[in-house]
Amino acid sequence: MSSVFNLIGSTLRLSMPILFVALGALVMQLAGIVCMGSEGMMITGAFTAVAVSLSTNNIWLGFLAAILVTGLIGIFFGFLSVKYRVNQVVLGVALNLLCAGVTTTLNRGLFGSTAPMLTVSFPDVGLGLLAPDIIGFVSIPVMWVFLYKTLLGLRIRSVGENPLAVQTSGLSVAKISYIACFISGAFVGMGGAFFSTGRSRAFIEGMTGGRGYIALAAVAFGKYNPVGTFLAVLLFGFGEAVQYRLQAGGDNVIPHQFALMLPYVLTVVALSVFVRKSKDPAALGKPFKSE
Amino acid sequence: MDSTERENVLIRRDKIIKEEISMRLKKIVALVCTFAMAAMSVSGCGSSASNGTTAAAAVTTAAATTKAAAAATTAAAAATTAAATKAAATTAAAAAAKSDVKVAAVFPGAINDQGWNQLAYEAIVKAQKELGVQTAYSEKAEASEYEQLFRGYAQQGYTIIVAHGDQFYDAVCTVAKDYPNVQFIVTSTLQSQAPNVNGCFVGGVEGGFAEGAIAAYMTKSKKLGVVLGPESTSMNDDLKGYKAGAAYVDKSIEVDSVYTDTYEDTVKGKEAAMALIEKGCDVITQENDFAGTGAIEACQEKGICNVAGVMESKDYGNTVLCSVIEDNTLGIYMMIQRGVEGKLNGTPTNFGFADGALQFSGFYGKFAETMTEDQKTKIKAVVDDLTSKKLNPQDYVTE
Amino acid sequence: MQKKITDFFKQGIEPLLSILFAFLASSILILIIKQDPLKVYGVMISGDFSNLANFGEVLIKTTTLILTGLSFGIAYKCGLCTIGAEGQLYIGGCCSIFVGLYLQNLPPVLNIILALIAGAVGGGLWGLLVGWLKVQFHSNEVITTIMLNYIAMLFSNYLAAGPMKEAGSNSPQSAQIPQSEWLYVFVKSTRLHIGIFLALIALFLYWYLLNKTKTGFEIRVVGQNQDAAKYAGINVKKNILLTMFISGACGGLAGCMEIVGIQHRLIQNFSSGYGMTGIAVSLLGNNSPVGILFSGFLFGALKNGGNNIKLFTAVPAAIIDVIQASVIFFVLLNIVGKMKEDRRKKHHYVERV
Repeated sequence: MSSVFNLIGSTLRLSMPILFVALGALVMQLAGIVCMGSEGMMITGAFTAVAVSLSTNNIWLGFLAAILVTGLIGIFFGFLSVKYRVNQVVLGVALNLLCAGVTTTLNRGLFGSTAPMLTVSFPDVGLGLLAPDIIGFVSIPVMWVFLYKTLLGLRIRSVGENPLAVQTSGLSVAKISYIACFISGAFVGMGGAFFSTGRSRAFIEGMTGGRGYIALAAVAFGKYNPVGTFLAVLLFGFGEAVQYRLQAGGDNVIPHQFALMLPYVLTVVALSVFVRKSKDPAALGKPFKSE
Repeated sequence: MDSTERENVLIRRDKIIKEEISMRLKKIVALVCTFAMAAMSVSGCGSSASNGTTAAAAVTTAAATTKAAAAATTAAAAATTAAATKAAATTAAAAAAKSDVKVAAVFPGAINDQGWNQLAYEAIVKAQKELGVQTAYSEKAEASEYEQLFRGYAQQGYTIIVAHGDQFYDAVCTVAKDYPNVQFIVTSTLQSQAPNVNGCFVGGVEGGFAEGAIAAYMTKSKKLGVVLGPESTSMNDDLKGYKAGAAYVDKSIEVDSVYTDTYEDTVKGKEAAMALIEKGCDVITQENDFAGTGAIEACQEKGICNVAGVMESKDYGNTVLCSVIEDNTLGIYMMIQRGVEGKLNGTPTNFGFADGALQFSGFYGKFAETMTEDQKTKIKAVVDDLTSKKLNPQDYVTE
Repeated sequence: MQKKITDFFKQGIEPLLSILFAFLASSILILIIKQDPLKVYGVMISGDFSNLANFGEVLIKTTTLILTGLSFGIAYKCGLCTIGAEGQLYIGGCCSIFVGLYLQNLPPVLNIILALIAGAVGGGLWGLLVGWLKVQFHSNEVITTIMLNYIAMLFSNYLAAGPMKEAGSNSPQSAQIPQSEWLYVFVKSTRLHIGIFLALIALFLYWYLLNKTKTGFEIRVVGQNQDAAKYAGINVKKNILLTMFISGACGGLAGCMEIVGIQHRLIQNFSSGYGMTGIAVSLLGNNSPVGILFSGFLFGALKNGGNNIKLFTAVPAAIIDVIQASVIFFVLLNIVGKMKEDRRKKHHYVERV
């Protein structure tokens, strides 16, 4: 019985940072912009949080800094997508590459030979959970209310479905998109910050390892709502938690490389089997031409 | 569209075209400037592009010839700082280069990983301090560039080149043929190629054997867990030796292992250890350097005994009983020393307890207090026998 | 005639400007970490052109990059954005080493040809898988290719450490294929092998396919507008599948180059970002054959120079990723600049009528 408990705990620990990223991706995608840059934004958040936490010796300042920096990157992304109508997918991939390179270079340049470990950490709230875990749990209903019960949430969703209608009603599609992108970036940054400063307590170059993309898949798999996204993220976290136990099963029944593949295979299967009819927002990825 | 609106459109178009032209002009000016600076820097850059003090000299020459003098002088000062961060004992390096031998090292990972790569890095730092050699290094080498790295250093006059890991062996052998006056040291392998490729191995099977035996004496559940990093020869040898050591003590003991594929990610280390503990392992060993500290964390939380491998781990938790330290630093340093003395000739060396490269840390922590005298004696006996070479781990390897 | 010359220069200037801006932007980063950008770039250039061996290395990387660039390019022409070259590379490498290791009783020339075919087919099937997922399940090919990249890498590592491991060794790598089966090195004192000619042939085939064949035309139409293609009677699904196969074959060939031409054995994690760089190569070259050729060379020089940066400066090789990404950024912006000009012109004409 305790092993089931451990598995649940493990799943939660591994899933929570990705939940933030997925919620962020959800907002941007609902606004009709493909959040392909989630991987890059996540690692930027991770690095910023560590760098600021180390220099100020305050983990919450690091957290806030990550939110700010990544939020700005989100706006930058939105700006290029909306104003210049750049191919969002390629832009996202380029952003990921850029962020990976910049964070590695800065990490090496600023911290050089020693990868410093944080001496500060998030407060423990019992049950092996840290404060940001609670923030994460709370974010799900908050996000739900925001998206479906507030005016701004409605506007963001409308921009993703039918931007022309929004503009016709006199609102600025661009402005709403930028707000959505900032919120999105902020959440992704939170995810990255929690990922690095939460349990690893250090920045490791390239540490996100594809999780930004998995978050993106989770949004589609979760049918574009916060609760579904959370469940999807849990599934992938579960995949990662299980693969350790598969390996530990002794006698290496499954070669360990196959166990390591599990989260990625799950993502492909989830996308294929369960995302038949695209519930993407109608205007997702289509640059809006303002008349 | 009436005429005034049309005029406005035309005016706007003109403005935009003018802006575009000025932007393009700016771009062209920038282009010309950069080319000029690049050309001057290439001519100014000397051929000695190592991380030692010569780097500062080359930068100052380039700085004197560029237009952005201010930026360059800060860069020059900064480059010296960079050179300083790279070669830890800078003052020593700048002051007395006792030897004019140049030693280069290539690492597969980061020099700050608190383990495998860091130990080798410290070896060249030690060589710099005590032998007075000039050093340079390259981190996170990737397979597609191995040969080039070695050729690069050989061409620049480095006569001792350390390749940290057996994955470099092929590339080293190919390059070594073209540079017979350069001695290559390849770690984690006993393969060698006369006259100038020297394999050396610290720990490996012997280290794993010691860890396995110690863990076997401590286990009650007869299940041992090993947390591994990326797959490599030395990692495989560690595991092989571990299983042999456990079998030496008791053939019925089961050894489970989890590959985390990382030397740095502590979260993975912790999850792997947790999984092993859940399966009933009551002694955990980790071989993946910094990531292994996560495994120790898991042991702390669950009160599980930890027999540490590779590096001294007692500060990471009080459930760590002891560490079987692979002093790669000492082993590699000894190889470099031999190279400086001209004693390398393309033969392999196997370092173990006997020459001090493997070290037993002694007992500490919670479990040291609760263990029986019998256990202590038996463990000490294994270490002594390995040191005196009375006990040969290879006899117990089954694969 | 004069217009054609000016047009040619215009086409060439834009990418050059992108490259320049990328270098400038990266210089800022280098300055932030208190290094000297000029030294960094100088080391990079000298590492590429100082002698024949180094230049050979540049060409070797160019070969691989042309192929991964083509992998992205052909898919892009069909409206697909695949990041899968990295995975195709791994699978292709595995397939070719299989031929090299286990079909050694064949005459060497036949063995090499078979290895090349195996690499291409293996990579092609991997690409086809992505195409099938897209056609059958509407799966976003960006995510599926990225996931499949990880899966392919892990699978390749598994083969190297397990079934294909060298007998009697504890190293997680395969045995070395005999020298007779290596791709022929035609410039002594370098490692430059005939793969470069294969890459050039592939470029030619790419141009021929897209511009001179019906299939190529169909692919391009599907890329422009799937609905229009359907109404024109073009089988969209078939073309997507075909394109992904060809894309995968290019990536697989790249893997073959790496393994049969350079490494000569299957090792862990043998690719270092060639797939990602291929995207930059293709985009910078505007997905055209000549463009891919030149930008392949540029990025080959960059990648090779990156090694030198790592060797002789305190700047990590990751700076090359920064330059690469910056190039993509500036290319994207330039393209858009042109698009806006066209749109304004169009508006004006529409108004007139």
